[in-house]
Amino acid sequence: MGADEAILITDPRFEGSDSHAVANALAAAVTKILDYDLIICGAYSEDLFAFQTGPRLAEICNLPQITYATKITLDGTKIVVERDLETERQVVEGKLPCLVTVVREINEPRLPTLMSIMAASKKPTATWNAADLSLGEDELGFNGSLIEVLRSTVVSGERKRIMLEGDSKEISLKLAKALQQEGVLKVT
Amino acid sequence: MQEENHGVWIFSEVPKLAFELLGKGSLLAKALRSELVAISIGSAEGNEDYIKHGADKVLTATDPALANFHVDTYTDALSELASEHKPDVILIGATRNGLELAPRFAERLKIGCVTEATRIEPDADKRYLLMDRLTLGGNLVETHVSRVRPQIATVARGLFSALPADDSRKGQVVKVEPKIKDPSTKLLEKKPKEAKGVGLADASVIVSFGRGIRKKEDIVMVEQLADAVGGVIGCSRPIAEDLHWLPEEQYIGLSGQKVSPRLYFACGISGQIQHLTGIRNSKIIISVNNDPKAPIFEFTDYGIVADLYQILPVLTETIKQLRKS
Repeated sequence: MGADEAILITDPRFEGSDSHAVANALAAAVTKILDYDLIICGAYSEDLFAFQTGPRLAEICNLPQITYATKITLDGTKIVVERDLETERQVVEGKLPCLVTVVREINEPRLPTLMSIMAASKKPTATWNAADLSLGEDELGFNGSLIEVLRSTVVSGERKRIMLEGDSKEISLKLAKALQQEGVLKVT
Repeated sequence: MQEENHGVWIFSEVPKLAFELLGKGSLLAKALRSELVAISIGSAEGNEDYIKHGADKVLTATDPALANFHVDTYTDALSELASEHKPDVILIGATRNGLELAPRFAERLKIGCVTEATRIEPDADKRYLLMDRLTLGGNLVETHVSRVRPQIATVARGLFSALPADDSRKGQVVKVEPKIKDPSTKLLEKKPKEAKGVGLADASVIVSFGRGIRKKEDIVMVEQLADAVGGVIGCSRPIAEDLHWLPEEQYIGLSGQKVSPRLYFACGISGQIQHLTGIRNSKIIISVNNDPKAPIFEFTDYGIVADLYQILPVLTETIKQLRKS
């Protein structure tokens, strides 16, 4: 996809990490890499939507954060970022090094060509675990987290979940009647 | 130590959302026998409104450097105030600003943060808060507990109700002067988004569609149903972001509009968490999908497994007839 080098950070001991523990592990990796100008994170993950990892990582590394980026332009040692907020778009300038979180609009991922797939196998990759990052037991996973998940419950019963059956006309009449009874459809 | 932490705090840079947080905060403060404090950063205007809407106290920071939201300066201000006053609970409005402020601030204090909590209640012994949030395709509710204080959650717009303004309420307004460093990034330009969207946040009837609509021209079918039920149209994220059939302001979901109509029609929407989070506060949800296994049906009051192209015109006609007669 375009990276020159890849590092996989993995360890069974990361199990149970909250956003703080994840950011801690990433910060340890960033510190180990040392030589960086720009850190790009997704603004949120598609499963948890917590929006936390980027800002927490920026805070630990003492970096400026620029969130919700839709476009990033490098200008020497400066960076110019277009941001997407609820009611406005902003253009923000920051100095490198810097952490940027991006939203989906930033980019359509390219399709790797056969050549780039072949070339990828020759690029350097590494795997780092908790020991490689000098992370102690109380700094990672469940023990290193500030938030505890007490329980998970399957969502159900919050909605009526009444299925309407029949042909189109029957269904339509049933629905219209139900909505009148609910008092959400006014019939004059 | 929990004994050291006291008080329920709320902060949002959007006054309407701040009032909603005060509505929830007043219930929590009562349950925890605690005071309710509004954090007002930037402007001294409107401090009395926080009191009218339930605050016992307002901490107001009016340094000109705080006039506009910047994550750096607001993190400085909030961190210093929280370190000094040690509140027990902080609710932060989950705007995009709030969502980047909350984790940065939480990390500075090495405390947890629950993003977009959907339920916040004290445990039976009132020792800590149980904070629910939706995860994994909207199929799971996780109940979170913070191991450290203050306990922080961000809260979406429209989730909790504001108390009506009570002009007779009295409270204390306290000026504070937290130390602020120069911000690390500079705003060069801002332009408001075109307000093409039809006020979805305040609509009482919404007819929304997703990928089940196959061509842009077919949106007319959805518009006709919307006309019949007196509603406005909305859509799921792919329709706006990938296909650009409707402006971005008209997509409903976690990263888009969050709505609370009395009637919500989901036509040909599968029901990803993105979308479900945006429609949770609807009173009645009606879903039409040709896939009986679509996750949307779990979040539905009245479900119809059918081909949109057959059912929508008949439904539109039936409702029109009924409303005429």
